[in-house]
Amino acid sequence: MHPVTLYHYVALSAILLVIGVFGVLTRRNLVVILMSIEIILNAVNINLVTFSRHYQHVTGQVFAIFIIAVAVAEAAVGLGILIALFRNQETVQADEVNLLKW
Amino acid sequence: MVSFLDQLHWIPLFPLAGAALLMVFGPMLEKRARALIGFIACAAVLLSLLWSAGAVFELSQSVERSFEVVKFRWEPGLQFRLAGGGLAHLRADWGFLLDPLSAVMILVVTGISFLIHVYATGYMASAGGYYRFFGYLNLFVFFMLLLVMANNYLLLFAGWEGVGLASYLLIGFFFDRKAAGDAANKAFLTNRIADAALILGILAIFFTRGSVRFLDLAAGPWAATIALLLLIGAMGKSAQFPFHVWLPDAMEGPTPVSALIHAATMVTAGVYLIARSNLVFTASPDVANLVALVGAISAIFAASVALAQDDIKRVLAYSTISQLGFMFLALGVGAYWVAIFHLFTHAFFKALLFLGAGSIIHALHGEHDLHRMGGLFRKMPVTHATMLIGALALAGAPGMAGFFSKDEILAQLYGTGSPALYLIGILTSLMTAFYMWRLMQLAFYAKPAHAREVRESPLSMTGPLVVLAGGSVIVGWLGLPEAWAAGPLFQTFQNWLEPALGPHQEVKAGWLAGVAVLVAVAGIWLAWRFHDRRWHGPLANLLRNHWYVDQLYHTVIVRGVAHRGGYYLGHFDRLVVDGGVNGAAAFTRGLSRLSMFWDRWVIDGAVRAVGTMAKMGSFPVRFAQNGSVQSYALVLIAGLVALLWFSFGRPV
Repeated sequence: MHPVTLYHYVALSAILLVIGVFGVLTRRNLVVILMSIEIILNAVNINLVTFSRHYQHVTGQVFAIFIIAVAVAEAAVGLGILIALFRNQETVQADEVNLLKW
Repeated sequence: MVSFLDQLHWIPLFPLAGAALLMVFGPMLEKRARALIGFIACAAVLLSLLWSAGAVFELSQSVERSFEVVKFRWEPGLQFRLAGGGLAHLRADWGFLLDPLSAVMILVVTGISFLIHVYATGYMASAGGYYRFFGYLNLFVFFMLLLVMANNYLLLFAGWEGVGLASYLLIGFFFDRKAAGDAANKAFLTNRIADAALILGILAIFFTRGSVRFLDLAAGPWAATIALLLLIGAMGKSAQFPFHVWLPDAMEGPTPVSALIHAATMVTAGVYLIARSNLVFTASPDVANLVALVGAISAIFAASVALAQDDIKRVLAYSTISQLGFMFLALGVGAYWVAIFHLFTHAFFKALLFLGAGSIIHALHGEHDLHRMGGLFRKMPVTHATMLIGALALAGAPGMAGFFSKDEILAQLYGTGSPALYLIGILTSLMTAFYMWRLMQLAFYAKPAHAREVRESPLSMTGPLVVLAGGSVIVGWLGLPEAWAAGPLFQTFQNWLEPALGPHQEVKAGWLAGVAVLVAVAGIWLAWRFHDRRWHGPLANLLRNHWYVDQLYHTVIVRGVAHRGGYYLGHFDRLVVDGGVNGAAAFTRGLSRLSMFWDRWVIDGAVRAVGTMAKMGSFPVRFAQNGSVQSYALVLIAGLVALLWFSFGRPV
């Protein structure tokens, strides 16, 4: 049994990042896109915590907590925009919200 | 010591100051101190009268009997080539001239004005606009004095127009009555026509003589033209046929105004003008004959109309025209002093008659119709007695003022004029006696045709009547040489006027006076016999409608002008006025269209061009902006990946 090393964490983080980016780019439902953004943020968190432990340095963990706080705020604002959008357009499909163009 | 003669300018200035005071403070005084208004007006004229008397006395003591004082020098203006060939500057140094002629005039004007001012304080006591009335009245006295004291034609003309203005204001004094406003307009417009001729006459005097000063006037060239133009001007102001139509209508004004302006003073301005210009009239016998003809027509025409009038003031108005015709007759035959003499006596008894008529009208609360009077003989003793004197004076009863002056005119007509003129004079005298006695009969002796309580007028009204009645008896004797025997203080009228009007011709024919008296008595007898008859038939209608002259003017001139004028005015309105309006509209429309094109093509064009340029410049790239958030995110990430690839992906 291989021990869980730094590389595993970094790989997990990378996989989550890619999944998140993939979700943001491909999903049409804005709620899912928001969730994907959360996944990306958490990928970043894992990365930070991993290196914090690796270097025995606390800054990474503090930063991760900051990101969690920012993510909460971001989720609140994002959902607020989402509701406002739904009230106006009666849709949460990203490809149907394309008024702002040339 | 103040010399009245040197300070001549105060004579017209007093009434002017009075008028100014009343116009400024009048509205204030009207409510609180009505009596003060009358006092100011009377005092202004009284001061003027006293000053005039002083000045005339000093003049009579001087040797040359002519006093000219120049108040303002005319800055020499453009140089003109005169009709005669010489060069002259336009100049009219204005100042005052007091000579025997203007001395008579200022005494008449200020004296009669003062009495009428006093009378008006009683007559107008209950009328509204008290201050306005006296302000206008004082203004009139100022302009009249300016007229008779001017030393040149230009200043005379200023006074001439000024009295016209005052006359207009006072005829239309009761401006809430349409008839009064119409009469004022009629008077003003009729006078305008004649005044145009007067202006031309004054210009002709200047262009032929180079000076409009009275003392520079000499016979010279163009005398007939000048005389004719001055005559037309005089005919307008003195209401001579065919310009007479305004005077009877002017009776719409308050009675003191009729007495002062339209009987005693203003209407005699024409006589004054011709007497003042006597040199040019003497130099052109044809025009002088025309003057006599105008006078004869006016005298007999107006007298005939007066026979049939029922309005007491209209009888007197036509009588005034007739008497002014007599003065013109005298002027026409060259007896200038006789004309002025008649002017002088006429001012007294005609003012008296008008004021007496005013007293009756006042007592009867505005009744003008002779047939509704009657029986006033006992109830208004003072008015009756004074009016009797006035009527006798006008009719030419022996010893009264009118007798001397009219007898003198008739004598002059007989002596120098043609028999036809004399006959017209006699006939007019007969009619004069008739209509005056008819008026007296109907007003005083006939059975009362009204059931009113009649009271004699107050002292302020009867006082002037008594004074004027006294004057009507006395002043005639001034013309009688035997009465004075060239005393030191008094001179006969003709001797007094000789320096100004030239030597007079004596006509000796004692029987002429007898004829005149006979005619007067006959007229009075006829009136006594037939006064109550209402005449019918075409002749009576002709007279009652004043020979249809007013109707003729109305049909031909007023309607003609109104009709044809209306037609052309309509065209003018449509073509010029509307054309102007429509033109302005079209111009605005055109301008706005132009502005629209500018706006649409140039301004909007520039704005659009900017937009279009941006649109064209962004042609391929702008399609990347498709509004889909995810496509942006894809580009973002692609860019990031590319960046990372270029930064780290390449082998070092």
